Parts: sequence; C-alpha cells; structure tokens
Amino acid sequence: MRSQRYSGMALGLIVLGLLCLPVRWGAAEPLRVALLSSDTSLPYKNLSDALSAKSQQPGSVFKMVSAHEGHDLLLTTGSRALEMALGSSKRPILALMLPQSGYQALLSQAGPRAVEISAVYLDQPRDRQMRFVRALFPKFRKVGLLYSPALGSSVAAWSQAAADSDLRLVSRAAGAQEDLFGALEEVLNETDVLLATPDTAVYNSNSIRNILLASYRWRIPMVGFSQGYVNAGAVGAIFSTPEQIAHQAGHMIVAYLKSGRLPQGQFPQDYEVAINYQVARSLGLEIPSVGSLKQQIGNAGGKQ
Amino acid sequence: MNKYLLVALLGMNAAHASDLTDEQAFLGEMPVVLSASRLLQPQSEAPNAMTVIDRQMIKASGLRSIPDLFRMVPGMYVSHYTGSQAMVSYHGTTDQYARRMQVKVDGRTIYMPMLGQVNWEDLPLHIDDIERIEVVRGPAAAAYGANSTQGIINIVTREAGAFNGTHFTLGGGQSGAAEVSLRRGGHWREIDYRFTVGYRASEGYAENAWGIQNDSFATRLFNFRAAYHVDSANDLDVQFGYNGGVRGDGWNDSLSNTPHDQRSRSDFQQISWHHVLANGDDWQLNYSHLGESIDNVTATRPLPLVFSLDTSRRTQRHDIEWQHTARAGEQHRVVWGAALRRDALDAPNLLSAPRAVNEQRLFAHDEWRFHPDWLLNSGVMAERNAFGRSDLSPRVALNWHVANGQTLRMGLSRAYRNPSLIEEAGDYRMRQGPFLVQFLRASGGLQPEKMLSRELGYLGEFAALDLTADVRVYHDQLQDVIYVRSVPFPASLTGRTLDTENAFDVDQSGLELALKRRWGEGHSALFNYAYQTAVSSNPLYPKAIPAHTIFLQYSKGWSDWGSVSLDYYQLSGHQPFDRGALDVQHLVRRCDVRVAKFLGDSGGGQSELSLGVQNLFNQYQTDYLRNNQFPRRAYLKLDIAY
Repeated sequence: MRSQRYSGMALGLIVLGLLCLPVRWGAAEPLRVALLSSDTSLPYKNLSDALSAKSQQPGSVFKMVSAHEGHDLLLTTGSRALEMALGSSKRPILALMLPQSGYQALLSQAGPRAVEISAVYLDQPRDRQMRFVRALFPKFRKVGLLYSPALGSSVAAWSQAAADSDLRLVSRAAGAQEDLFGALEEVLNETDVLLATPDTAVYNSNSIRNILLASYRWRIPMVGFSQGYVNAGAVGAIFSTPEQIAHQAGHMIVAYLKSGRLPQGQFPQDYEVAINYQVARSLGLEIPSVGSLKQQIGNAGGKQ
Repeated sequence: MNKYLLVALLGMNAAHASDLTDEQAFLGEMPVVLSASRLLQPQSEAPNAMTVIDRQMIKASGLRSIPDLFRMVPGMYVSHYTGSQAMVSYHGTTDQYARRMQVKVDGRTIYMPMLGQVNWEDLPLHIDDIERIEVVRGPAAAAYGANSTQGIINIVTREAGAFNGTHFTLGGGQSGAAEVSLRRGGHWREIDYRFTVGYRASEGYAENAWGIQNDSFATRLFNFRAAYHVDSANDLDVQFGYNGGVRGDGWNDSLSNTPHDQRSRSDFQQISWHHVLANGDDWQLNYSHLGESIDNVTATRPLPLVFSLDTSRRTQRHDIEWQHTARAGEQHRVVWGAALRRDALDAPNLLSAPRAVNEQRLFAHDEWRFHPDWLLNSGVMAERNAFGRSDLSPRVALNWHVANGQTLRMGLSRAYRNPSLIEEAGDYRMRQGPFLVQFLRASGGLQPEKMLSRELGYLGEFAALDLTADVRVYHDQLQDVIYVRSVPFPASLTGRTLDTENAFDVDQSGLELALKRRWGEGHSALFNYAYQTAVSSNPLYPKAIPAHTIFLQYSKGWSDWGSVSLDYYQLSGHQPFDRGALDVQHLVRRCDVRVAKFLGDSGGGQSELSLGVQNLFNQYQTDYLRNNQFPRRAYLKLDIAY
C-alpha cells in the first residue's frame, strides 16, 4: 500500500514535471536573435529597423540582441556580413538581403560548414519576373536578356521561365565595355522588352545610363528590379521592400522555433510593383493598374 | 549592431565571385535618365503631323545624300537646281531657294538668312551620323522658332555614346560619285565621344544638249561629338565640325554667271548643358556658332567674255538658347524658353555693306491632358526679328484618342516668314570697270509672309498588324508671298533690275497619307501619297505644284544574309514657278533598287557590301531644269565595322 502511494506520487511528480516543461518552453525567454549588417546605409538600416519593429510586436517570439552577447540565431544582411558569419559563427545563420546567386556563391566558396544556414533571397524568382513582364505587356512575345559570361549557366533557367509564361527569350552574352554595345544592339533589334538582371558586369553605374538611353532610342521598354530603375526610366520594376523581407524572416524564425530546424532558403512571398507612367505613355504603352498586375502575377510561392 | 564586427568587415576588400551578384545592384540610388525633355511625345500626341525617318529607313533607301531622304516624306518637294544645290521644300517652292522651311541639326538652325536657303552640301554632317530625322509637316513656330511656315526638319545626330567601335565606308559609282569615310565611337572615363572624317565627290549632272553642267563637287568633312556625364544631374555635350569643298558653278549659256569654281568652307561649334532636377524636370542651355564662307574662284574654263560674277559671302551666326521642361501637376507638361541670335553677313556684291542682325524670341508650349483620352497642345512664340518687327505665332491642337490606337487631331496655327536679307536689302550687282549690271535692288519695307494653317489628322496604330496609318487633310492660307518683279533701273547696263515685293496670296489644300507596315521575318513597307492643289492671285503658282506624289518602299532583311530594298517614286508633271515653259517637268517615275550582303560573321555592327541602282529602268526625267537630266546610276559601297 505504502509503496503504491509513493510510486503514485512519484508518477504524479514526473507527469507534473513533464507537463511543466513545454509550458516553460512556451512561456520561456524569446529567441535571442543577433543581427550582422554589411553596412549602415539606408537600405540596411531600413531592414534592421523593420526587424526590430517585428521583434517588439506583442506576441513576438524573438528579441534582438547585440552580437557580443549570447544569441541563438544570427541574421545577416548583405553579402559581406554573410561572408564574415560563415567564417566565424557558431550559431545557425539566416541570411537576408542578398540575391540567390550571391548566397549560393558564398556557400560554395565557404565549403563545408558546421552550422545550419538558410536565407530569404532579395531577388524575385525567375518565373515571377516573367509573369510580371507578361502582365505588363500582354501583346509582347519576346523578352531580351543580357548576361555576362560568368553567369552564362543561368540562361537555360531563364529560357525555361520565359517559356512557362508563353514568352521567348532573346539573350546575348556581353562582357567588356566594347562587347556590351554590340550585344545590346542585337538584343534590342530582336526583342520587345529588355529585362534587367542584377548582373553587375553588365548593369553597373557606368553602363545603366547608356543601356537605358539605347533601349529608349529603340523604343524598347526596360523592366528592372528596384524602385531606382523606375526612377531612372524603366517602365516597371518588381521588388520586395525591407518590411516584407523582415515579415518573412519573422515567419522563418517562428518555423525554426517550432521544428528546431530552419526552413529551406526561399524567395520573398510578398512584393511590390512600381511603374513609370510617363515613360510608358511616351512609348505608347498602356499599363494595367498595379492591383490588376499583382492579381495576374499571383503569389504561387515562386519556383526558380 | 555590432560595431566591432562592422569595422572588421569594412577592412575586407578581397574580390570574390559574389561581386557579380551581390545586393548593391538592388540598393543603389539611380539618377533620372529619361528626364522630362528626353521623353519624346508619342506620334499620337504630337500637335502636328510628323514623319520620322529612322536609321533603318535610311539604310533601306540606299540613298547617299541627305536631301534625297526627304522624298520619303509625303508632300515634300525634293529637287536639284544643280548637282551640288539641292532644294527641299514642303508643298512646293517659288524658286531654287527653298526658304519656307526651318531646318535644324541637333537644335542648331542651319537655315542661312542671306539668300534664305539651306546649303545641304556644306553641312559638316555625314548621312551615317544621323540617328533620326523628324519632319514636322505644317507650321510649328511655337516649338521650333521662326521661318517654319511650311514645316520643320529636325535632324538628330547620333549621341556621343551611341556606338563603340570603328566604321569605315568606301563607295564609288557612276557620274563620278565617290566617297570614303571613317567613324569612330569610344569611351574614356566619364566621356563618350564619336567623330567622323569623310570625303565625297560627284560630277553632278552630265553634259547634254542644254549645257556643260559645271556642277561637280568635292567635299571634305569632319565632325566630333563628346558627352561628358558630369554627375547624375548634369551632362555636357560638345560638338564641332568643319566642311570644306570646291563646287562647280555657273552656266555656259550665261553672260554673267560663267562657269567657275566656288570654294566653300563652313564650320560649327556647339555646347549644351543639360541639368536634371530631382523630380525629373530639366533645363538646357545651348550655345552654337556657325560660320560659312563662299568664295568664287576665277573661272577654270576659257571665257568668251570678261565679265565674272562674284557672289562671295561670309556669314557668322551666334545663338544662345535656354529651355526648361517641367511637369506642372499630373495633367500638364510645359516647355518654355528664350533665345538670342546674332547673324553677321558680309557679301560685297549682294549687299551694299556688311550687316549684323539680331533676333530675340520667347516661346512657351503646354501639353494639357484634361482627360485620359484628350490632349490639348497649345503654344506661342513671340519674336523680334532682324528688321525690328515683332510677331506672335500661336498654335493650338486638340488630340482625341477615339479608341485604342486611333487618334484624331485638329490643329490651327499661325506663322510668319521674315524676308531674307537679300529680299529686304539686297544689292545684287556686277561691276566691271565703268559697267554695272544690277540683278536685284530691293527697295525694302517688306511685310513678313503670313501663314494660317488648319488641319485635320488621323493616326491609326494597329499593333496586331504592326501597321501605322497617318492621314492629314489641310488648308493653308499664305499671304503676302514675297517675289520679284522687274522695274526700271537706268544705271544698269540692261536698264532694268528686279525689286522684291509682297506679290501674291496662295491658298493651298491637300491630303497626305503615310502607311507603314512590318510583317513576317524582316519584311517592311512604306507607302506615301500626297495630293496638292492651290488657288492663287498669281496664275503661275497652281501650275507649279505637282498634283500627286507617290513614294513606295519595300524592304526585306535576312538576319544571316543581308537585305534587299526597292523604292518607287512618282511626281506629277508641273511647271517650276520661276522657269519658263522650256523647263516644264513632265511626269517623273523612278525605281531604285538596293542589295546588301553581310560580310564576315554577324557580330555587333554589321559589315556589308551593297549595290544600289537609281532610276533602274532609265526613265527620262529632269530635275527642275531641263539641263538636269537624271541618268541611271549604279553605286557600290563597302561598309566595314570592327
């Protein structure tokens, strides 16, 4: 009798203890998340502010701490921060604010690693960019692409993404300054629209001006990947804002907490669309409203 | 934020693969490249009927001289007074000096105020330097300044950064035609540049029963253009050029203007400063200087008479213009500005004394989109001309987008043509010892010619067919047309001379049609038709207007082989206004063909060999005078790009 009571009590205590444990986890300290930024300039600051704001929302499961202190997860913004983190971090890394190609290049450069790593990419998936082009210009069939030889391997993927949206890809390799003009003229001669990509060997501060002027001279609209492109003279651009990236980072952190593993590297779910109506009008193009564009592009997760 | 780690990062500057695809491309600020004034008005929103001749059309036409290109504009009259003097005039002309059109190159007026003409052969411009030509069919003084009663030709040359590499051309053909040119475009730090060096020559029209045709020419030209991109808001564009050549002039059946050579030199310099404001508005400051001198060189052939006419002249022009383009709210785009010009002329046998004339003008233009489908273009130019007279030239046009791709346009404008210096103050004479022959003595006091133009236009853009249709119906009232009449002048050997007066009025109306279509793999066609009719107090004028003009161009390009193009040109018979019945122009029909074959591999910038034949079927035709008999001419040209 007495042994039954003691084992009963012991069982009760164990059960109570077990019951308490998840509750302790649930009401436990929020996840300590540190942030490493490549730079202090405005875009990086906007993202770190958005992350801080997210961490301070009621019900948030994480809090921002300084990288000096102990932390459970490291967020990096930009490629230089990621490169640094890959060399030295002991904690899982969530990379933000860099394109998929940059992220993959840094991973392969770093070699085998001990910590878990994932990312929210800065660029839009190729098929979403092509759906954007299709929605902007329903009558166009050909989309032009200029790429540097080092990124030649991506052309097949671009071609497939274009085909999935009922478009044909016209592409040329363009390397040095001298090559660029010739390749550009050839593309402009054959295509209906020029899609700019974050390939800095082709689209850089020296060349952007001449590329925009040349495509305008040919009456070919350009589609870019940031608000800056629309200001410069591209007819449209599709991109994700720091708030949208921070929002998605928050979701990934919640998923990490639930499952103990970081979800796979992913493209942004939410995006913005910007249009330069003056340039569109000057080219004689009628652009549908932003709302109807977004509806057409949809949000199908985005496969690359 | 971990300051310690950031400092360490800043120290890193090793290059790595991710440089090609890091985030900087997404984050950088970008300057406004397509600023308010760079944005061209689409054709459907232009206040006038506009024909654009682009590089592809120029190439397909196989034409080698710039004035000939204007045959591709409906309603344009293109002819030659001599092999080296072309006449380009919209809706006809009274004589070989086509002075009712404004002609500009990169915003620089090249219309010369002396005789009121454009010396096409003297332009330091090579046909391959042209990016596009905008021809405004109808008056547009508010946008282009004075002297545009009949229209404006605006030649836009290739920008300094438009191409990289070297192009070499070599050509030769019948009628002693020859040309060679070298063009190079490049880039050095923030400066883009391009330059052209060229030589061209021709023997002009051939000798025939009416004369020896001393109209050959040899021209050397050079031009240079550089663009300095100072910073994201400022651009500086500098151009200069020179053209020098010898031209044959004179007639063997003239007692005074006997065959002789003329040496012609012209040069220009231009600098533009373009500044873009944060919201995309911009302003521009242009300064240009043009100099021209024409000297008669004594006759190269033995003369039966001792008289020699000397029409040597020197012109200097300075022009400074400021223009501001701004968006005022969502609905308005405003362009306004001011300009000053000074022309100095020295012509001992055409004017009594050297003269300098000044002009000032103020202009403003507004595009008001008061409804998504309606656009009101209104503009005005206020001008104080060389003779102290002030005029106001207003213009208004309403564009209605009736349906998708269909636009109707209604326009009304008033314009003035100021007398040229020789019309107002000419003292054109020839003195030999005690003998004086007075050709023209203008008593002055002329009124400017007045033009009131009304038009109705339709533009259809059928994207599915890749077809554009441009129709224009117009009624122009031209008053006080300046012309000459014979008056007694005892001092002259002939006892008479010519004086100028506001002689007659003309009412011109007509229809113009232009169709353009592209289809399939590399096919394109262009069809122009113009019908013109005139009523005038002067019975000769209506007969001087060709009733029907047709131009048809078909071209087919193969991306791996080359191209073929065919042109057909037809001009109704007419009687040139200032010529007698002997020079009546019969119906002209002309077929030109051009075949071009690519050379080498099709890298950027094609090398090609082309053969062109003008007047393929050798149909008898004359240009303006019966002396100018247009033969069948073949021409071979080699273009090498590397």
